[in-house]
Amino acid sequence: MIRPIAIVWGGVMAAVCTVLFQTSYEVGALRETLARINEDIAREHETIRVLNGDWAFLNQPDRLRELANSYTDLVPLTAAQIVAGVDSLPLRPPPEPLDPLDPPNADGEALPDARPMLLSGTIAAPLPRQKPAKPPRPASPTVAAERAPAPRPVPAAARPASASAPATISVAAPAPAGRTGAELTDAQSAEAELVDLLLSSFRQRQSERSAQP
Amino acid sequence: MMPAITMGPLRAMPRANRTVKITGRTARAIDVSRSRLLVTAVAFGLAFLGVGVRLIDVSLPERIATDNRAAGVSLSDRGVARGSIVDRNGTLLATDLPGALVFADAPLVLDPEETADRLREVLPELDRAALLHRLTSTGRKIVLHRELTPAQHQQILRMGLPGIGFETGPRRHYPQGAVAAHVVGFTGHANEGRSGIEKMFDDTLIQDRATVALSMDIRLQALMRRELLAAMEEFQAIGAAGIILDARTGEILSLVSLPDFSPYDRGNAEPDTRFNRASLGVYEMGSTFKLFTAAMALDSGAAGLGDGYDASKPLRAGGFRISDYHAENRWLTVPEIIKHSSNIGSALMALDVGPERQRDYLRRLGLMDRAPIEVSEVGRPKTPAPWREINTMTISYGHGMAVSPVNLVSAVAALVNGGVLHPPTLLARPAGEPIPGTRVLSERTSDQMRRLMRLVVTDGTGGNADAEGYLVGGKTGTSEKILNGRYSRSARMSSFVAAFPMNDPRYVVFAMLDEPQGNADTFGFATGGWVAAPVIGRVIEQMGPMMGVMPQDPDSPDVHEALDIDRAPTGRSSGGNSFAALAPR
Repeated sequence: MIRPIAIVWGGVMAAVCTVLFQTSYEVGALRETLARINEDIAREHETIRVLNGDWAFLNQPDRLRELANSYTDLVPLTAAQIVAGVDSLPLRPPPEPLDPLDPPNADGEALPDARPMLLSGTIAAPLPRQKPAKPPRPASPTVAAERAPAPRPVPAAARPASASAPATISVAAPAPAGRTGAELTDAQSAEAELVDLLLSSFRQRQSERSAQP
Repeated sequence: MMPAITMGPLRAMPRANRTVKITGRTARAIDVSRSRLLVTAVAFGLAFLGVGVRLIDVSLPERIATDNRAAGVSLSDRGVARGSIVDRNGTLLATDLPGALVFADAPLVLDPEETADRLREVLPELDRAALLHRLTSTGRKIVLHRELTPAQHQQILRMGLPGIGFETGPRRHYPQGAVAAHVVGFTGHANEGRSGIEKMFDDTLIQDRATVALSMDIRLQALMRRELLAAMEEFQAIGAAGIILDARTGEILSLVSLPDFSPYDRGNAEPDTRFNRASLGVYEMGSTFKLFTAAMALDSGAAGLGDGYDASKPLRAGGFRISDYHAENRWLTVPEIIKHSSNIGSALMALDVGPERQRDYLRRLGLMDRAPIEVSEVGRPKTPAPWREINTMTISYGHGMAVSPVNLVSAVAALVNGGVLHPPTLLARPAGEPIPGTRVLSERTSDQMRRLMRLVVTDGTGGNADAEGYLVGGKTGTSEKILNGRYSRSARMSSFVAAFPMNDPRYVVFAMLDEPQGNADTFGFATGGWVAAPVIGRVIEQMGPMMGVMPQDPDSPDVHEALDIDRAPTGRSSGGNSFAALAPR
């Protein structure tokens, strides 16, 4: 005669047994995996040791010397060839900060600096000829800033042979003659403006990109 | 009604007033069956309990513990019986790699003739007759070959020869071959270190499977060996030794003894090739000892740099006649004695120092004791007993006392590095730890010695050692070997000990040739200045750029200031005060 409590206990027991056996088999399987992985690791270590031994063997100084003699024209360095130690060489100048809009292109072709540039006297020199009425500009360089978001350099902008080209340059920064301090402030503010522009456009492009699916 | 009566006492009857009392035979029968039931229930209960416990025992992940025990060795060390030995840059010098040996279980070999022939297809180096003899014996495990390559292993395995078995396990490998054989040493078949570092560090290598890092630089080792081999061939020498030592730490960067042996073929190596000339051999070093004589004379105040000695005629003492090889036959100052390597001058200088102080200085310089380097093959210096005046005189120019090249080199390092003796070592000194050292000479004496050693190379007998730009300084040494109890004129040990750059010495370099023969290029000379000095020059020339030593202009004012003998601090040390001041209290 089976009473309900016995049924409950039987059920519990069956469940426990099932779980126990299942766990047991899982552990067994995991243990096998572990052993296999350990075996693999040990074999890898062994391989590494063999390769290290091989590497040391192949890099015997005498062997390298023979190879260098037969395949290269290299000879040991002599004292006369040494001019200065690494310590006495000047440090490389710190790199220019990268422009987010204009990274160096993949072809390795050097792109011009996107920041506003100081126009040298030679570039600015044709100006007086275009406007003979004005007195010749002082020797101090004229400051001009590109306001276009496209970071084209000044030489490119100056290249067009049309008569308006010099005007474009002077429009960008109508420089009063002779006020160096004012010119610098002008250039600085132009630069700040340009950086703002570039950054906002950069952020916009970024947000556009992230908005795309 | 009967069933109700018999069942009555067993079950709780709902109605209490109908209780029935059973007595007599029936009652006894019920008692018996009750106790039987109880016993059976307990027995079954215990059985089920046992089954249950066993069930849990089997099911639980109990084997993890045993697994851990099996994997007592870390995964990276499986198949490794000994740790590796590396040089100061981490280049492997000795390591364990998996390998296989092949053995024969002779009684199981069916056809010895065929087995022998087939084995020789793969291992042609085995002798057929010997192989047949071994295969027909009764041995159960006759090792036929110990170092099978994986390819040979596969080939023999595929042949399926009965009675031929394999044993795989770690095999010791020496990727640098003979280059560092004397230092690294080798192991025996039972995996025990038999010589060199392998023997000295057996425990560390086996128990901890630790990597032992040597002070040696394999590039310098190969360089020194190559130049010594070339010189041995050029001068038909029977042997050679070379050492490069870091003058500031006492670390041995190179230790070469020639002829050497392949660690794979040590069984067949000639005993002479196994002999370590650089550390086990002790030799009368000849004129290089004059450096120590000058140093002790200057340091003790027995002589000043400007003092002179009468070297105009040979010296006679106790039946010996001391004469000069490069005889000047006049009064010589201390720098001239070193420059011309005058035996007479050195002997007179040593007499001024006296036997007692000479012995003390030599002991301080470590020349009276075994060099404390970490191989078992280290020779004990041979010193005279009793130490008479005549011994003092001959020892002053390196005869009558024998030391190992390691002894000599570490003492010379103390002469040039400011006067501190660092015990020589073959192990890389751990970075950041203080370097052990004891002061043996004053700074001032060391400064004077640097100038004297530079003088030997610029103006004296050591010109062939000058590697341009590296400000080499040194001293030649040539001694006659004792053959059949007397000094031989034709059998020499020719050596040179140098340091560079001399204005701030970083390395001491030593080269020695055993019984070199002069040739046309050296005008028949086979002395240290002709045969060993060029080796030094070539070694320094090549190791300079390797070790980052900047060449310097020998004519720059700084160099003249540091190395010219006439700008040296002159005069005497104050009567041995420096030595007394250094003595432990």
